[in-house]
Amino acid sequence: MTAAIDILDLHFSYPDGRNALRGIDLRIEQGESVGIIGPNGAGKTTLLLHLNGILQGTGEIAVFGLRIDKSSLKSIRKDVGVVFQDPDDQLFSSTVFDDVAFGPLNTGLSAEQASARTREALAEVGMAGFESSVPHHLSFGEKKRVSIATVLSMRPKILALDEPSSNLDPRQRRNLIQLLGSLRATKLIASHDLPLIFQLCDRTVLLNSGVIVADGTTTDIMHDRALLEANDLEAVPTEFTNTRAPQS
Amino acid sequence: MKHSFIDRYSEFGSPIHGLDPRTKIVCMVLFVLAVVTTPAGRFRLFGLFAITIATVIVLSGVPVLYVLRRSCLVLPFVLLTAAFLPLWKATADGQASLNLLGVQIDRQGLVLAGTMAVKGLLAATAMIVLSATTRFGALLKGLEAMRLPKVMLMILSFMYRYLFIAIDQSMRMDRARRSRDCGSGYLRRMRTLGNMIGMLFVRSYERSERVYQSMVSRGFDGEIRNISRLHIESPDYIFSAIFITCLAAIRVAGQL
Ligand SMILES: Nc1ncnc2c1ncn2[C@@H]1O[C@H](COP(=O)(O)OP(=O)(O)O)[C@@H](O)[C@H]1O
Ligand SMILES: [Mg+2]
Repeated sequence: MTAAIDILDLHFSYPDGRNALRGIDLRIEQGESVGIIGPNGAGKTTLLLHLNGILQGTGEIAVFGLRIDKSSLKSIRKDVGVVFQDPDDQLFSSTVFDDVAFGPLNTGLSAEQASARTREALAEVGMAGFESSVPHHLSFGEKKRVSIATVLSMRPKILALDEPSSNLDPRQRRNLIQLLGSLRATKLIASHDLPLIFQLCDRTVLLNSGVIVADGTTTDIMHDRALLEANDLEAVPTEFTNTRAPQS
Repeated sequence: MKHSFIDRYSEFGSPIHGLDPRTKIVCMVLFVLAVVTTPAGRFRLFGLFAITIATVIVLSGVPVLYVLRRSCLVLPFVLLTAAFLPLWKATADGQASLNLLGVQIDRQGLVLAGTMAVKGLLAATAMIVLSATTRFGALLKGLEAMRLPKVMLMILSFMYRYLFIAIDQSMRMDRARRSRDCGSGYLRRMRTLGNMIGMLFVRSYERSERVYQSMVSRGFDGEIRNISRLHIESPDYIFSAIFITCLAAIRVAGQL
């Protein structure tokens, strides 16, 4: 089976000379849920922005066997849905409906198809009935859900989420974890919320200073207290990790 | 932070709120035209126009005081211009001349000034009724359906969406400043204000980059695509018919 994502020796520096990624090799199989953890500034966001060609470093990235370049960009952006960390970056329209319909319309769907997709995606994230709402009238948790819907409406095969639980209160966070667990795409979740990764991902990649420090099962990595602490992360208390619900 | 003062009443569910934005745009623009083209000094007609728009306000459930307060905001501007009118006097050949040492205040000028104030007030009221009873997004959709340039509407839409975030950000920055400010002088405060504005600018610039990235992620290629979900229905026909008839009746009554 072709890998969902295959990254070979990816390097990237920002225009100011900052080396954000320094040789990433990563292969993600179809259907996997992979957590990308690492301290602030590790390069998680930068890596996610490479998955659909927003940033283009040197090295090779293939999505379902298709190399990212100018000609494949359009179809890759349909397959890879990136949910940005700040919902205010994701939601730019004056109504929720317009924002969720934005992606489908850009992929060339008709108005009816795009409307159907929009309603479907909003229902999936539990935000049906908010079509005419203005984003700034929503709570942060609601905005987050709509952000996810803006990507789901494109029916991506790969979902890349950047810090999905940041700024959520405990209840919103729990609901979000439930929602993400129910989505069936291949998932990449960048976060330093380790309990969240623990609940949602079987595999974890630990990133620090632009290189992959560790790559293994979530259970192994989360139990390696020394590794986590050496990389400025806080180990999850064991009573948390022992009661992990089995993932389908 | 909450700052719902800008579009506070646009979510009500009154019959006026339920109208298609195009209906309201057309009716309110016609109202303004009818008012503006009414000859000066016909204060009884202006009274009738006021009653018409007041009826719409009452139907919409938006507090009359709210609308009045807002429309009074235009008064200083109108009055400033109007204040000079009594100093002008129409001469026989239709040219206006200014009585510089304006002791002799012209009665006709006074009437003109009053007319201007009333017209300004009525026109502003109509626009406030429009914006208070229509969601901004719907207003833009209405304008789009009426063939306004998309780029212009896109700019308006971004402005509306991110205005709130900018206000929010500046409110937070100001609070952080005040919490550390133990009575600094005017100059210092001005300098901090300058820094804050600079920060706001930089943050907005960075945000625009991320917003653009999120748009491109979803296949944005420079073309703006939108679905119009507007429907003109029977309430729209009924409302416009009654409203426009009222306007016409007032104008015809003015000819008698
Ligand atoms: N737009 C940018 N310009 C310059 N440097 C950046 C930019 N964005 C991120 N960086 C730098 O790149 C590195 C990786 O950042 P990022 O990918 O955002 O990390 P993470 O998401 O893991 O916190 C950091 O050192 C950060 O300071
Ligand atoms: Mg980040």
